[in-house]
Amino acid sequence: MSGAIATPSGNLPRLMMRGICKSFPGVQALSAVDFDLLPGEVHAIIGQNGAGKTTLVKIISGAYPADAGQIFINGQEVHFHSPADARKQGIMTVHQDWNLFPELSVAENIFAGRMPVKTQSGIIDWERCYEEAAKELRSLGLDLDPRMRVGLLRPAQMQMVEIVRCICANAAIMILDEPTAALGPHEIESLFAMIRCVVAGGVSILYISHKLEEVQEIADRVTVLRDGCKVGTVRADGVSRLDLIRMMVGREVEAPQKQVVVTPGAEILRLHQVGRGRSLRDISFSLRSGEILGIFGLLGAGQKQLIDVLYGITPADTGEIWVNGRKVRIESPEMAKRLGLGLVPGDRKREGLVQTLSASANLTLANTALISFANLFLSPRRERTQSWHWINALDIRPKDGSRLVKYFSGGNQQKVVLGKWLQNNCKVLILDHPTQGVDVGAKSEIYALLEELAKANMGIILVSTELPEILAMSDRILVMRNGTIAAEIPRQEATNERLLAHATGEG
Amino acid sequence: MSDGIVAFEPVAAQQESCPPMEEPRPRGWVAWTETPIIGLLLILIALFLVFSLTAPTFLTFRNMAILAGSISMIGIVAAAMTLVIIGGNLDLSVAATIALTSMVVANLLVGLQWGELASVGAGILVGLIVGVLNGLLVARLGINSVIATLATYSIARWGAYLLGTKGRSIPLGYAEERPFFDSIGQGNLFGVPVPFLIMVVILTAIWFFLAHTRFGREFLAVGGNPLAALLTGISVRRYTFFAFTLTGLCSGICGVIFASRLAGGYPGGAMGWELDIITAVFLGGTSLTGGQGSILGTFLGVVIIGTLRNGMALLGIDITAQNIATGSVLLLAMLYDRLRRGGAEL
Repeated sequence: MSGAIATPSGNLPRLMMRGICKSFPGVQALSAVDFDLLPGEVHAIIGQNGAGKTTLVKIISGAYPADAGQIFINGQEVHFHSPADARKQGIMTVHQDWNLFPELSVAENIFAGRMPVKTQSGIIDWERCYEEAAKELRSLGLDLDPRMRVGLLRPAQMQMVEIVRCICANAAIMILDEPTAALGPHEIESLFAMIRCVVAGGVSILYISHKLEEVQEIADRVTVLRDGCKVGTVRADGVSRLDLIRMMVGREVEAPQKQVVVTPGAEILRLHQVGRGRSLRDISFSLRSGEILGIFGLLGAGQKQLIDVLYGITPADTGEIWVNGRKVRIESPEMAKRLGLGLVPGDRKREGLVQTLSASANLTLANTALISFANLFLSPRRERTQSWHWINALDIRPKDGSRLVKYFSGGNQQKVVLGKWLQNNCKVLILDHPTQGVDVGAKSEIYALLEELAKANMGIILVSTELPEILAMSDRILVMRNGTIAAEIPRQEATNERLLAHATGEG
Repeated sequence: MSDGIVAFEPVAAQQESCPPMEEPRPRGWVAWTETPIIGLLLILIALFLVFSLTAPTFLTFRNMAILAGSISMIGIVAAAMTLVIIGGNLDLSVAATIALTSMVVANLLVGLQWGELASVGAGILVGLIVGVLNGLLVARLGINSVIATLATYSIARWGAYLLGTKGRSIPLGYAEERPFFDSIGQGNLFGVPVPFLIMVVILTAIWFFLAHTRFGREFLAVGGNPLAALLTGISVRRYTFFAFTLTGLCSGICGVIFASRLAGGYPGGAMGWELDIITAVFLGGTSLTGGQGSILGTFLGVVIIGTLRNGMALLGIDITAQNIATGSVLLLAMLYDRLRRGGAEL
């Protein structure tokens, strides 16, 4: 690493980290990482899962102590023993799961713990509270009623409220961890507008994301981590996306390739005017074996409800479902599994994996009969053979099935979830945002795998809010809006603009 | 320094400075932080040392037989309670069920003059029914297990009082010969108390279920992450129901042993045992957050609680102080558990 760290404007970095090391049992999470954050800059940290982004951020925010290295704030060396220490220095984290109070108003959330009070009586000065909140919201270009209950806001608005809260608490450094994970394209735009506003006020932003296009749009500089080491820091406008990917993976990665179009086989799933409550209406479509059906829509367009109905989590109240030509009523996930359906859920950690079990136990969980004899007794030998087969077939790393699944990286965990359904030999695989929070390398592996599965005559339903993924992978695309199907578009006619137009109702 | 790219070094040079990822540590070696067994054994050895030095009658064959008999009743229920707790629930109704079962058995034997086998069978059935009821309340209706079993606790306990005239206990008397019934609680087989053998059989069966059957594997998944298990097509309800039913069944078996050992039905019997049982399970390293539990740990927990009570009784420490000691043991166990998992901030 070259001795002095150059700064574009030459001024003193607000945050300076030198030689940060951190190890966990069995893993060197960070080795000798240097990092600078200038006043009023958006600095993105990118890297594959397991590259050390989260660890670095946790050290900055005081959640972990570093094993070695120094941290300077405005040139002064600091030692954080807890997140509270970091907060005192103005370092605030906007988490993926917003820690707001849903039952309280926007203003109460913004001033939580520091409500303005009347000087004589010491009781809360509500008028001033709402007034000041409105002022803060306006100054960041937000058109929100400060009296509104936060629980009623959309996810994007909640996140913005949290950002306002940090600003009001005199944040000097704000950490945004995957802030666009749950946002639609328009919401991302308004979030970026707000970030530019915040930065103009002199606050520094540390931006963590998997999405390179976003990073290039919003960040001034980008630091790339790989395997716990810093690969380099580059100006965001001086580097191509391919270069960034190269830095992240250290090898060439193909962008999602257009797959070979397979001729779909027999119809294996058909929905006819399926609905549930008011959130899902009049859904009709069919799926053939060997076909990848993309379901696109902005967040909250009813995709979640469709998955729940298909998979029996909340059964449909109207309409008919056919599986393999037989009319069925799917009342539980257990029944869905028996019909040959599989689900790769959107929230891997919460919904996909049992963290207290090993990778091999998770891999074989959907069909424990296959690893038993007499349909009752577990056979360690069969479990090893089965899980070893899928660990190799899916290239899950490390190749150690006896390791608890929580010690695997995001991409490998996702492969375990996928492997679970392949092991059960499912016929229809439903995937909910299968590449969310998955690094670039694992992403293309998952895409390649989906193509393989389609070739092997599996019917695949790919639910995603990410346009490139939907466009690259799907044979046919359903666009959802307001709980129903707004359009069905064959792949030849699918374009960014058309899909977005249907999804937003301008088509 | 030029503008533009700031510190973009060749990738190959960087890679050299990266230490290789460490291989996972060899198998077979278990750190103390990963299992409570070592700690439990140390506690047990310490208790045995203290009591054999202070109470001369502690380390006698006679006292060991008494100890084995008395821990077996707790142990039988604790084995099943381990499953309930792995599933993230609690069952507070067990001790009341033991008392109710003892009253039913005594009533049938003395009042209705039923045969031994029929009375024992009916007693176990009573426990099973309470278990099924708990299972339905928690798994079917989704009622919080603490609330649900608090309700069945009251019903079973006061039901037991109703069965005795004016709430009195029912002594069996010694007029009649009841060889089978008496042997359940008081008999010896190869010099080992029968209740102890029953406990060993039940503990082994549940251990085998958890470690070596596919349903045990699915059960662990349900305990570890009910949502993920559900989405993997595993019936969470069925396993929750199973755990409560089994606990009811074991409480019934324990109630029969109780009636046999104490030769009667006691509506106020087994008072507070649910605390000893739950303490033993927690002590054994099973956590309420679910998914993790050890039958061997539960067994050691039961032995520790039993030894503590037995030793203190020999030293003439009264029941009040014993209960305080048991509570303190639970607290210490929780503290140790926090330290072991590295979560304690004192």
